[in-house]
Amino acid sequence: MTAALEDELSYLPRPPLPIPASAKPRDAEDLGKSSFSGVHPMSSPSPPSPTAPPSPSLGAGSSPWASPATRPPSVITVRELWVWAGKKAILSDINLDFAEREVTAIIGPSGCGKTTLIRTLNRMTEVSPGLKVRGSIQYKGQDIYGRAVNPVLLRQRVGMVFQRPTVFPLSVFENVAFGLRLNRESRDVVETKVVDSLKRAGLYEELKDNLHRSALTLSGGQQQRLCIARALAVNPRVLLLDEPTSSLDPSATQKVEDLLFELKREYAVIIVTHNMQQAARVADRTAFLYQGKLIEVDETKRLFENPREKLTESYVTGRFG
Amino acid sequence: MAVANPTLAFGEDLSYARGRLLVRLGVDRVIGWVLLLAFVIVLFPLVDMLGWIAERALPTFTWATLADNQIGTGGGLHSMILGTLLILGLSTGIATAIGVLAGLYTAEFAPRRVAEVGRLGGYLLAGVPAIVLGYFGFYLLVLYTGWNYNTLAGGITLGIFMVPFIFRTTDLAFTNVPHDQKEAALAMGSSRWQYLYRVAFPIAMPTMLSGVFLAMALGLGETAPLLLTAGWSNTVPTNLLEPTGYLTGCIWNFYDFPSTFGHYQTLAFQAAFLLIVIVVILNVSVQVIAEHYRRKLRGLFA
Repeated sequence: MTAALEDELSYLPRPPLPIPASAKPRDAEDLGKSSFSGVHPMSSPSPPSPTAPPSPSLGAGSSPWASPATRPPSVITVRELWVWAGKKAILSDINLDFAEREVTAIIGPSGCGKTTLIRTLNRMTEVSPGLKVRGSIQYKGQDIYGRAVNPVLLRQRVGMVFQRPTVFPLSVFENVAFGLRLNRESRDVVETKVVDSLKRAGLYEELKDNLHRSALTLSGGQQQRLCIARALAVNPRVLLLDEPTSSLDPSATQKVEDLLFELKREYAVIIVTHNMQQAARVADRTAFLYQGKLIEVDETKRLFENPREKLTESYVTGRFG
Repeated sequence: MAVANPTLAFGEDLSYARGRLLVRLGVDRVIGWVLLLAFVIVLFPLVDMLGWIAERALPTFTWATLADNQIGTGGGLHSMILGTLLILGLSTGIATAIGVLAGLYTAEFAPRRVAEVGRLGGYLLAGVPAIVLGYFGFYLLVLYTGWNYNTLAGGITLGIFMVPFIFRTTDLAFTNVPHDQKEAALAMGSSRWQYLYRVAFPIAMPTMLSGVFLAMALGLGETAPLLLTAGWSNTVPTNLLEPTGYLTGCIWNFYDFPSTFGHYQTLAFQAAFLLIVIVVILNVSVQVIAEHYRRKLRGLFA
């Protein structure tokens, strides 16, 4: 698959003047207010799968993609991934596909490598020294650990939200504008995208009267949704969420989960969670990791109700972990 | 001592302490007194010294003390105040520029080993006696350059004296920024410098500022390195390559004049008084500024 302009990770300079026609509708749409039209917003060369995105009202278990044949195209492909910390393998031989417009949950007991796995997907493993990553991870056909790939571009396409809300000590507005400012976007673009992202994250109504208050004054749940808005502002294709609700109370958790149903209309969402009920509620597909190995990955409903592996069954029925 | 209340059963009287408990309470009280005594001893010299200096400096302290140069047995501290501010400005500028950049390097850019060696170097430099630095400055900036005693040499030497304090606090300030802030910034696709400039800088600001002000307060009190580099003069310097006076030097020069030249001693006390006032202003302003930043960052370190 050839990468669209926006998805080209090794493309450093600003886009040249003749913008490919395919890029235009997406830009135009993004500058509009909110694009919950259900239309696939990406300039992907391959047309979106004819299967309609699932309606949020459908439960997670009732994903319409029953068989692999009708699944949407995968945006991230992990092949033979090993991660080493010294002599210890944190992840061994992971093979996994993450599809567009799906929520994939990664579950497993503490220390099984869930967090490391999603951190490899936008090269955040490089920030913690001492980790060796081997194998291939492809984003739209490009090896993200390839020499030409610029991690800055990768991280804009593959956004990440952490376990603890990590708002910057700036105003609400500036938090969301952060990534846009890094790219030196014009004032108008920043303004539009900030409002748009806050709307998508369901924060706009709560905060619109005071976008310039310090983000540190928000509640934990609002801070976490602000982090999501911040990640959305730079137009990611994939959103990585590392236990995004583990520090939130139930009602804030509910709001974040509702948000995921909205987000998956446009993004591939990958969520790490230690909470199996959460995986069952939000995920289309679920991957079970145990001691650094991928034990099983399947449609969420099947994985929970009729797992193929004995280990998965003991875990999802709460016999360990 | 309280007597047990007879209407209560044994052990139920909560106001009647006996035995081991009584000993524990006694020890607690004694320790409280000892700590109070130590606290008083700490504060006593400060209060006593302030009174002692004020008593000698203030009765003759007039506008002329600030506005006149010292001439013969008369005059004021004008040139020394300007000299002090000039040297302090030079040294603070030099030390802040170099110290902050070096601190940023060890905190964010340097490989771990290099950073450790650099920090050790900072500690060592901070421990070098000021007079040794002064001698170094004298050799390099006074003799070797052939400039003779001059203000610039004083500023540079004092800057070298101040650098390690600013370097260390900057390094500390940036390494103490919560790691998840860095991860979040990098995950947004910012470069290291963008992270430092946009996220870490405001967080590190209060600590960095305290470092700069601490270094200024320390530098303000240094005498030896200046005597060896800036020399002495009782007129306002017209350019940086002339010697200049400074408040600490005034004390050094005049403290042991016989009382027949009482005015000299008074000048020394007035210089001491001014030094203390400047230190107090520095300390208060750093508190105010740091508090302003801390207010903005409330909730970040929770």
